[in-house]
Amino acid sequence: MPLLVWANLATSLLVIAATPFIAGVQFMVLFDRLLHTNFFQFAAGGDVVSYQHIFWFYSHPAVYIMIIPGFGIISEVISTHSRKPIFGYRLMSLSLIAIIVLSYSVWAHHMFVAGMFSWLRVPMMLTSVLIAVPTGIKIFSWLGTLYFGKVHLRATSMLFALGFIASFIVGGISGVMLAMVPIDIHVTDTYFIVAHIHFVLFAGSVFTIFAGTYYWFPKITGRMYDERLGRIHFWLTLVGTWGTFLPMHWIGMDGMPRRVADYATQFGEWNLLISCFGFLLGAAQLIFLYNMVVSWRFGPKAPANPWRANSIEWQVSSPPPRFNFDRIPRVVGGPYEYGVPGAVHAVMGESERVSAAGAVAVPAGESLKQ
Amino acid sequence: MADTALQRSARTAGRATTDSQARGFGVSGDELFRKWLHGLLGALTGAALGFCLVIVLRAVSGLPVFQTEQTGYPHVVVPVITGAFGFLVGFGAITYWLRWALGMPTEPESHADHGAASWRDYFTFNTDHKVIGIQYIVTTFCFFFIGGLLAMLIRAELAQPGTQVVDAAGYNSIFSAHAAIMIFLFVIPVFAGIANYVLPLMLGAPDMAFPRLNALSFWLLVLAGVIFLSSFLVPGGAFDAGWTGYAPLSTGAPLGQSFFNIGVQFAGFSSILAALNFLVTIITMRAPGMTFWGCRCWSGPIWPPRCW
Repeated sequence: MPLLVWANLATSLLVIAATPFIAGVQFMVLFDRLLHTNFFQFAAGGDVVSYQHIFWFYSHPAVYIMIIPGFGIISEVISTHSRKPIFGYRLMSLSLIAIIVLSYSVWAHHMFVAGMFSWLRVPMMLTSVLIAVPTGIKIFSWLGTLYFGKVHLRATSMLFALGFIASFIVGGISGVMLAMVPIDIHVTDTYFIVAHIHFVLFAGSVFTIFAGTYYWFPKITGRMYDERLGRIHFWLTLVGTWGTFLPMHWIGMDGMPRRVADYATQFGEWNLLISCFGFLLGAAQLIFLYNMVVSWRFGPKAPANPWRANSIEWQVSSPPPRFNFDRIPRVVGGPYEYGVPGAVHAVMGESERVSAAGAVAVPAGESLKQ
Repeated sequence: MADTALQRSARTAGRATTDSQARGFGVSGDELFRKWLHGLLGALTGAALGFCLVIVLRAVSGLPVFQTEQTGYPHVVVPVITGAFGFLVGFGAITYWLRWALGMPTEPESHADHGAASWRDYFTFNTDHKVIGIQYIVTTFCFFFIGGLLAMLIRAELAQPGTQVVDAAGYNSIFSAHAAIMIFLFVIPVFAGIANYVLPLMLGAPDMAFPRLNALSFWLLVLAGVIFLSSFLVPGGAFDAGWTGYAPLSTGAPLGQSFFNIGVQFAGFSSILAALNFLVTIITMRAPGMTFWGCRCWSGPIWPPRCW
C-alpha cells in the first residue's frame, strides 16, 4: 500500500477521533453566547481553562492532520524522483501510527502559562519531545531514500520536497525547543511562536501541497505544466519563506509580542525586512497561479506516466477514464521498487480480454459498482 | 486513450458520442441554473424557518421576541445554520437520503451525475471523485489566495511601527481570519482534495466508497467558507479572537465570532465525513493483492510470509 494511502488512513483516524472535540467546544461557546449557559463564565462557576484543554485536545492532533498527508505526498515524490525504493517502508508506516497515538498526549504544551495544573507540565514536555522520534524516523528515511539516488533536481515537485525537508527540520527543532517548559515560558505569545508555526505549516504543509500539486498536475489535468516557471516559483517561495519567517525567531526571542498591530520601534528594521520578503513570497504565488491556469488551458498533452512512477494511478491515461479502470488492476509487488530489475507494482486484470473476445460485453460504467 | 472508456460506455449504451464530450451525462446550462436557483431558494426558506423558530421559541419562553442581546443575536445565528442546510436540501445534496428517510422510492444510480462533460459539472453536486477532487483543490486554493491577501495586509501593517494600514481592531480581525481560513479552509481540506483525486486511483478503485457523502463533504466545505467570509459583512466586524477563539474573549465578542463558531462546525462536519469515506475506501476497496504491510501473509502456503 503506497505511503500516501497510509498517511491518509492515519489522518482519517485522527480526524474522526479529534474533530468532535472542537465541534463540542465551539458549541459550548455558541451556547454561552446564545443561550446564556455558563461553561466558560468564571463568575457563574464556569471553568475558563477548560476551553483551552478541549480546544487543544483537538488542535494539537489537528496539526498532524495538517502535516501527515503531506508526509505521504513527500514519500511518493521523493521515491519516484530519486529512483530508489523508499527507505524503511515498514517503519515509515509504523511511525505514522506512532505519531497519531502520541499526538493525543501532548495537547497541554500549548498551555504552559495558562494557569493549568503545574504538575501536568513535565509529562506534557516529555511526550512532546517523544513525538520527535517518529517524526525523526520519517526525516531520516527520506534522507536514506535520497542517499545515492538519481535525484531529479529539475522536477519542481522534487525541489519542493527537498525544500520541505530542509525547512521542516528547522520547524521541528524550534518545536522541540518550544516543548521545553522554560523556553516556552520565555517565548510564549511572541513572534517565536509565529516563526515556528509558519515553518511547520507554510514551509512544511504548504510546500508538500505544492509538491503534490505539481506532481499530480499532469494526471489531474492531462496537461504538462511549465517546469521552468515551476522552478522559479520554488526558488522565490523558498527565499521568501526563509526571509519572512527566519528573522521572526530572533525578534521573538527579543520579546516582540504576536497578535498586536503596533510594536516597539527597536523591531522596526527587522519588520521592514520581513515585510519585504513577505511581499516577495506573495508575489511568487502569482507565478504559480499563472502557471497552473495557463498550463491547464494551453499546456502540452501529458503522457500517462510522465515521471515513470510505479503506483497504479500512473498506469491509466491522463486524465483517467470516467470510471478509472477498464480492467481491474491486480497488485503483484511493492509500490516503490524503483531500480529493481523487472519489478512491477500492478498489472491490469483480465476483464478487458474477456470483453475483447466477445464473451461478455461489459460497459465500463456498469461493470464497476459504486 | 482518455476517451476509450467514455466511448465504449456510450457506444454499448447505444448513445451517440462526440469525441471527449460523451453525451448522456453532464449538466446542461438550464439544469445548472435551476439547481442553483433551488439552492438559493432553499437557503432563503431555511433561513426564514430558522428565524420563525427563534421567534416562536422566544415567545414560548416568555422572552422579548425581537430584542437582541449584547452578544447573542439568535435572530441572525440560527437562520445562518438553517439557511445553510436549506441550501443543501434545495441544491439536491441530500435528496437521495431524504427520499430514503421519508420512505419514498429512491432513484437507482444512473451515473448521470458522475464525471464531467463540461465546466458546468464542476458547479453542481457531482459524485465522481475526480470531479470532487478538482472542486476541492480549486476551491481551497481560492481560499489560499484570500488568506494570502490577508497575510499581505498583516505585513503591510507591520512594515513600520505604529498603525498605518488598519486600526487595531481591524488587525485583530485580519490575523484571525488569515489563520482560520488557511487552517480550516486551505490546509486541511486541500489534502482531502488531493487524496480524493489520487487515492481511489492509487488503490485501483473505481470511486470512493460513498460517492454521495463525498460530494456532501465538499459542499459543506463551501458553506463553511461562505460563513467564515460573511463574518466580514456583519456589524461589529469579523471574528477577532484569533483562530483559537479562547473562551472569555470569544464568549463576549461581537456577532462575527458566532460565524467563526458555525463555520468551524461546517468545516469539521465536512472533514469528518471525508475521513470516514477515506477509511472505508482504504480498508475495503484496495485492488486485489494490495496489503497494508506489503506482506502476503494469508494468500499462500508459504511461511514465513512473503514481503516486498
